[in-house]
Amino acid sequence: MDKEHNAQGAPQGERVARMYPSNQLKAQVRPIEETLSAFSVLKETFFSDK
Amino acid sequence: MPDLFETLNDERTFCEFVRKNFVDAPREISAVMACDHTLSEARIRYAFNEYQQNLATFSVLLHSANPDHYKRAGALLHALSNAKIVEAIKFESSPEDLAAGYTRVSNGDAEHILQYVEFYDVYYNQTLAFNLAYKCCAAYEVEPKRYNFDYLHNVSHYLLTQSNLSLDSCFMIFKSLMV
Repeated sequence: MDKEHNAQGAPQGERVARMYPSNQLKAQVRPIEETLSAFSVLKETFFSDK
Repeated sequence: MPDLFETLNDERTFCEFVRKNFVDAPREISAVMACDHTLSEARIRYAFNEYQQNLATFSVLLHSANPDHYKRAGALLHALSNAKIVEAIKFESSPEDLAAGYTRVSNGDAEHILQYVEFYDVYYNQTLAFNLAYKCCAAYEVEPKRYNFDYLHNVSHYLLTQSNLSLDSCFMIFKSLMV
């Protein structure tokens, strides 16, 4: 493995940078409309029966 | 269904998507307190360019050259937050009117609505940016973690107060929330 490091101690070199082959976009699992909304969080926080 | 993040690589699709969500999302609470949003088309286009640049920054560091949904959501959050797409908002009743009772809402509701208005009056761009980026991320997550108002408030405050918002920090917001 490339052992070069910069002045801050971070590993350098193309081989080190490209070290996450499994990090890639996977399949979408649900429509965006079915995900949590910040406005429902706000509504629940401020406008629910207290 | 077409892959959401893949479709957002098209400028026209991206701009329509952002515009629609920035208009539709606030309507969820319009029955309680209506709020008009003034959007900038130029800033939406700017956000697209920033988003593409952010994706390129991530892609060069990945063997796959294909950032995952945490990185893409972070790239989107960073772009939307910096773009400040909403130039102005106008509530049906201002915080001052609510506090003084010059409003159609009852006194009992006014206290809660005032807290919401005071929050959103400061953090509207950050709330809209995080709302959309989170929804995009959650669309790819098998069991997406939910967040509460405390988390939303902290993230919004962080986005607003960082003079040089880091792309990596935006990615970490979603990675640490979901994983």
